[in-house]
Amino acid sequence: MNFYRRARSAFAILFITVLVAFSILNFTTRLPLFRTKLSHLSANSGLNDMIGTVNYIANGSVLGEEELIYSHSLLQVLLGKEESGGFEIIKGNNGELSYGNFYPVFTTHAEEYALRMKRLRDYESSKGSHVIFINAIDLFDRTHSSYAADLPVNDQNTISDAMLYYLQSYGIDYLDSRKVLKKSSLPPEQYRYNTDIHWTVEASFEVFASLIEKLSDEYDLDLDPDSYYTNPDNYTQSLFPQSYVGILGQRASVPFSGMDNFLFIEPDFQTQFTLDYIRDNVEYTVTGDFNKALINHSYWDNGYLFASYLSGQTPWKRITNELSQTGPRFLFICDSFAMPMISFLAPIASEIHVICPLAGQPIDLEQYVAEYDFDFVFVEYYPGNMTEEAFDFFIR
Amino acid sequence: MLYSSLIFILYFFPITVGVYYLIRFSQRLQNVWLLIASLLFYAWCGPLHVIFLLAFIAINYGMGITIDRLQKKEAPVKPALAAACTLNLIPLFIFNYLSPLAKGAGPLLGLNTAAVSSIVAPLGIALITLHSISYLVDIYRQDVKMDKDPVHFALYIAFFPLLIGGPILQYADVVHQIARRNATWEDFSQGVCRFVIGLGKKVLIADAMALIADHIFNLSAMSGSLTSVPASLALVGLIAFALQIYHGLSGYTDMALGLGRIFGFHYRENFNYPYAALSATDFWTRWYTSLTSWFNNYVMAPLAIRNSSNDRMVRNTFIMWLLIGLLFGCEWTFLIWGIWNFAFLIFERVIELENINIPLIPRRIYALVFMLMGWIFFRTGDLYQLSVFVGNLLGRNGNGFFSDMALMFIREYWVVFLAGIVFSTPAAPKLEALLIGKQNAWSKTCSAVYPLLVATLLLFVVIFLIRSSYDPFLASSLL
Repeated sequence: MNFYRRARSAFAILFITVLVAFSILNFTTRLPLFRTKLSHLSANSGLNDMIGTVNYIANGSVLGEEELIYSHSLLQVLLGKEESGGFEIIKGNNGELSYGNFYPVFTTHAEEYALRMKRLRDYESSKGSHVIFINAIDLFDRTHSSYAADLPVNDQNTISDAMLYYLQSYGIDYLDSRKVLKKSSLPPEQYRYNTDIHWTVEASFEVFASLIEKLSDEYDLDLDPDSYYTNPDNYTQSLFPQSYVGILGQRASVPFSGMDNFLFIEPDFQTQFTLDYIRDNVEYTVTGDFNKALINHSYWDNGYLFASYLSGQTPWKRITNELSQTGPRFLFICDSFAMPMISFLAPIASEIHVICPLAGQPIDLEQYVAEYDFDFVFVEYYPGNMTEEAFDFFIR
Repeated sequence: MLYSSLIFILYFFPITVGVYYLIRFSQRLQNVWLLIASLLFYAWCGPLHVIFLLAFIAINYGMGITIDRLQKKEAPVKPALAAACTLNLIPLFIFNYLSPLAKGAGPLLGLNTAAVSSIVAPLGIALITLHSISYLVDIYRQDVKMDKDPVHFALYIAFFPLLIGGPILQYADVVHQIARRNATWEDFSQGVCRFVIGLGKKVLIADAMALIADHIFNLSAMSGSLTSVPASLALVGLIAFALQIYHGLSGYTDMALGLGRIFGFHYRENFNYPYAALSATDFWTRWYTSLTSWFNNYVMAPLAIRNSSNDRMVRNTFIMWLLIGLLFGCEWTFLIWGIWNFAFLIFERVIELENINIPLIPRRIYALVFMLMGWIFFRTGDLYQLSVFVGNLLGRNGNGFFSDMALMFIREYWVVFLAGIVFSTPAAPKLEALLIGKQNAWSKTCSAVYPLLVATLLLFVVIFLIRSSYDPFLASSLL
């Protein structure tokens, strides 16, 4: 028994030594964060706010966090699990990740959002403009996705269905990207990244081509008479094999999520743009060709390649095509899904304004559309993003 | 602040322990330090609640002195004791019962009860109340000489290791330890190991089981036109809850006993593998024993003094279980749970179950049915949910038996289910006795591996704590 006692003592020494060392190290490395966050508390903040802030930092940020989450992910794989984080993320049979949801009852206000779309459409019609809604695909593809029996997959297609139904009943035009991709030559496994919530850049390109076709067929706006801009052969396609980890993959960590191929698409023809955008209340301007002006290469360094198109979702941006002043003028009210598609549209438009209501700094959209004249206003959302904040316009 | 939160493990715990051992030259200083740490711990859960706690301590300390003085003057003490106990129960009533009552009655009476409904109960209100009553009654009974040091009393009431999940103390048992104790290295090492094991039970088993139980019970509450909970899924949910509540509460007890041991306190065990019980009576001698011990001592004993006939015994047992049910909340389901326990305990006493020769397996099945059915009353929030869940479990809602989701939960969490079940039985101490209790090479090897095992357990706990984004219901909501 003495030996057992000594073993227990050994653990106690090990425990207290490691704990104290780790606590000191963790505290010293997190000290600047503590200082910054606490200094941001206003004079009116009470003790509760201070405790909340300290809790948030202390419980949410630990030295070696990434390594520990990686270890957790590895454990999930070793145990043969198909869920991570208590069903926050689930894995399909083909490795595609999705959010989990045990309660597939969505409260949508699709009818109200469609009504706001109608008011926007009526206003734009009075100015001779058009409004088209584009729904991005859901992570769950009813005809292709495959999950182990009764994994609680979050199927949000009902939200899209409801939205399109009400849009149709109000006579608002839309482009259902699910149908577009089904008709395309793209195999279903290339519609979305396994590790991300976003559609792939190549799927985005298909939706862009379909939009050009729609404008030509239904609005007599032939932007690509020779099918030059919509021909993939006129674009450089660079494949980054097994190098992309999207939002879901970053959350679940690589051992569980795996990695995706990333196909980067950029025009093979001459382009020249000026991109103005606002991020964190600072306005930036970038000038150059497609690769220089519209692609933010800093995202290549941290591996989140999808966001390199137009720097991802920012509150406001404007792309000016320096080579064509005669093309149409577009407004996009959208989320991050639309960024590659807008980039592909940029060479055939004269100017594209992009407003992302979900990016944190709301812009008065009614005032904005009153101030500028557009040929087309596109509203694009992923079903999970069809929320009150996303449709914060023409409320009455 | 929970014991299983990173802020507790990384900052509060090492600082409190470090300073405590630095000032070991003075027991009084150590007690003052533990009191300051406990008040900070309490304030962290709600800064305003610490004012309530201090007032509670001051009032009870004053009442204790009054009772003691009246005793010495040989004046009538009972009215003072009754008043003091009533005064103690008022906050418990306000925080635990007024808010739910207002929520229920407000709409019926057309009253705006928003202010009352939003009252948040201070941490460990039930435990603090029970500790205070124990203090007053023990002084009244002269079971122990009153310790007039206010720091000692305040520490008895507010000691942070006991605030979340108990165990429930009786003043006479611990007052001497507060005044005089000696924390040895053996205490420290045992305490640390016990704390880590408790942390493991809470984080790795109870939290995972809570996730499953919560989803299944929620789905059952929603079941009807939108969802269906087949019988096998309901059963998995019930087993998950049984494992959650055992490993959650016994995990908190392990942490409390471990922390107490680190500071030199030796508390009584609170659990003794209750799922290995062979009857309801046996179960209640193994499950949260400090609860039944407290009620036996402070409710049953005074009632039994007046009349110890069988009829009175039945009545007293009924009152005790009704009160235990009420302690957990004012939902009808808790009352039914209390009556369920009462009925089985009396039934077993009447038929003298211990003396009947019944094979082991039927006895185990009987005990398991008693325990699991009891947890249904405890877990379902109201009578409607209770009826739906029982209907689902018995397949009376047109819900069928087989469920892919039940298999999915077992497939995804089979390791946790297995660990939960194995560690609910006395397998671990038997294995420990078998492997470690001998003086041979094999035993030494196993002992040498022990630190590695506990360190691995701790590493797993930290990994899961960081990844975990789920906040299940807490033991603190039960006590």
